[in-house]
This record gives sequence, C-alpha cells and structure tokens, in this order.
Amino acid sequence: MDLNKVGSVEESIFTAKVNSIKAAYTGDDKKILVSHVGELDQDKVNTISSLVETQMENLGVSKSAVKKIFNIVIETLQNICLHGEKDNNGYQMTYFIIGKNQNEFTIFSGNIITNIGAEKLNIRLNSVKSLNDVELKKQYMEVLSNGELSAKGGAGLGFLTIALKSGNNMDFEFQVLNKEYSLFTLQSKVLG
Amino acid sequence: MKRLELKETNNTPNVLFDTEKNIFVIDGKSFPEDSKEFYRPIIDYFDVLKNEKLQELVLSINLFYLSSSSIISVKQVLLKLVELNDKGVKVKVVWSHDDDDDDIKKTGEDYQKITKLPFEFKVN
Repeated sequence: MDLNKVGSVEESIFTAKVNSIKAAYTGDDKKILVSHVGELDQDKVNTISSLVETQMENLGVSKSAVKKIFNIVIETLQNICLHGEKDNNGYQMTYFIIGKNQNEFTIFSGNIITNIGAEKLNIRLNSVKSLNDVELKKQYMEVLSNGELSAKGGAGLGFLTIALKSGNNMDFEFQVLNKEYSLFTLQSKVLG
Repeated sequence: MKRLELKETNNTPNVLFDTEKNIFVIDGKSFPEDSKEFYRPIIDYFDVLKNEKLQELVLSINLFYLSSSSIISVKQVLLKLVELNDKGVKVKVVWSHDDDDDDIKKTGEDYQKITKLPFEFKVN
C-alpha cells in the first residue's frame, strides 16, 4: 500500500478531509492556527506543541485554556506517534490542525489505523464518550491506581485526558480506505 | 553517596538527586516520547536507596506539565517512596504548583490518595 501516491483512493479521501477542515475556517473570526500534514515524530511533537503555546499566549487566551489545549495537543500527537500505522514505505499519513472560531478552539487530527484496530478503538471511544464528568474522573482514577505503561508506552489515560480537558466535547469517525486500513479522525473542542 | 542528575530538555524535566546534600528534586515539564525509558533510572535510583541507611527523604516535585504516560511513571516513582517509607525512612513529598493551576494540584492530590504518603502542597 502506498498511501502518499497522488491520485490513489486513499490519498483522495485524506486530502478531501484536510481540505474540508481548512475550508470551514475561512471568513470572519475564523482562522487556522496550526496545520501539519505529513509524518510525525517526537521532534515534530516538540515543535508543534511549542508553536501552539506561543500562538495561544499571543492571542491572549487564558492560562488554563492554554494548558487544556496543550494537554490535548500532546495526547493527540503522542497517540499518533505510538499507534499511527505506516504504509509499506514507512510513510505515516497524518494531519493535525487547530482551528479557531471566535473563542472556540478545535483540535483536529487524522491518522491511519488497521480496520481491526478501528473496531476496538470505536468501542473504547464510544464508552469514553458515554461517561459524564464524575464517571470520567472515576475511570481516570481507576486507571491511574492500577495502570502500568504498555509495551508501546501507552498509559490508557490518553483519551480519558482528552475527554476530561474538553469537557467531553470530543468527536471521532472511522472511514474505511481499503480492505486493510481506515482513516481515524478525532476532534475535540476547548473554549478559550 | 548516590547522585543522579538529568538536565532539562524540551520535553523532560530537570532531575537532581543527591544523598550527600540531601536534595531530591524533579522540576520542569514532562512529555517524553518514551516515559518508561525516561523514568527508569529515577525508579532504579530509589530502588537502590532501599539498601542505604537513610533516615529522611523529601522529594520536591514541581512539574507544570505532565503527559498521561508521565503521570503513570511518576506514580511508579512515588510507589518506590512508599517502599522506602515502609522500611522506616521518613518520606515526604513536596508538591508545588502554580497558583491558578488546579489540574496540577489535583494530580498531586490523586497521588496523595493513591500512595497515602505525607504531601505538602506549595504554591509557586
């Protein structure tokens, strides 16, 4: 599978997704603050996260909102680094975009996942999304009390953290690309 | 004398442990790519301290950002302190946070609940 082959079905679906997000942020009071399309590694995580911090501070966003956004950014990006699938050439098809609409910040991300992985993640995310604030905090404490890091380094707290920081304003979608892979997209909102 | 020093980076905190000077400090931000790898020498350090004759240990933690995997790793560090505490070392954790940072304060309170170690909360 060559994900970055221009004109392939996979690449067209991916590009259409990125373009539709960007298109939604044209007009008054709307702006794309950060946009990264392509591969991700820890160096890029560092660069993107410090760019986010600077941008938010320049906009005069409250310290607590900056922290919430920063939290979501790190969890989202590190999730992709740990779990995002690569194609046969080692290419990782991902996007990461932050859009601002008045005082609402939306963090969008997309990455490739196996169809089997998508099924599992769908169940997990639906269960997180069904929890209210008290239940989220309870599950967070359970994982924190009993949790250990997986072989891949995952904590099991990433999506719970995103849900908690966004006030469970989190949406996701899985779009099948071919018989092996799907595009996993996630968006979460924070008010600045 | 047991000493461990790790210099701060873009995504890892400054760590300074020194039994001779009786200093145990972790401060900065923590979102390493691999938390397990970053915190391993820290966990090992406290593991080795179990064999030292130590009366008192005050660990000062001043982290203004922790990723979720760091949160699990710091818990594992604190569980090592619980072992020292159980061996008779007088352990205390000084947990510092910014005045307006309730999330970091809450993380400290979560750890206090889980480890039942004596915590002192300090506002920066």
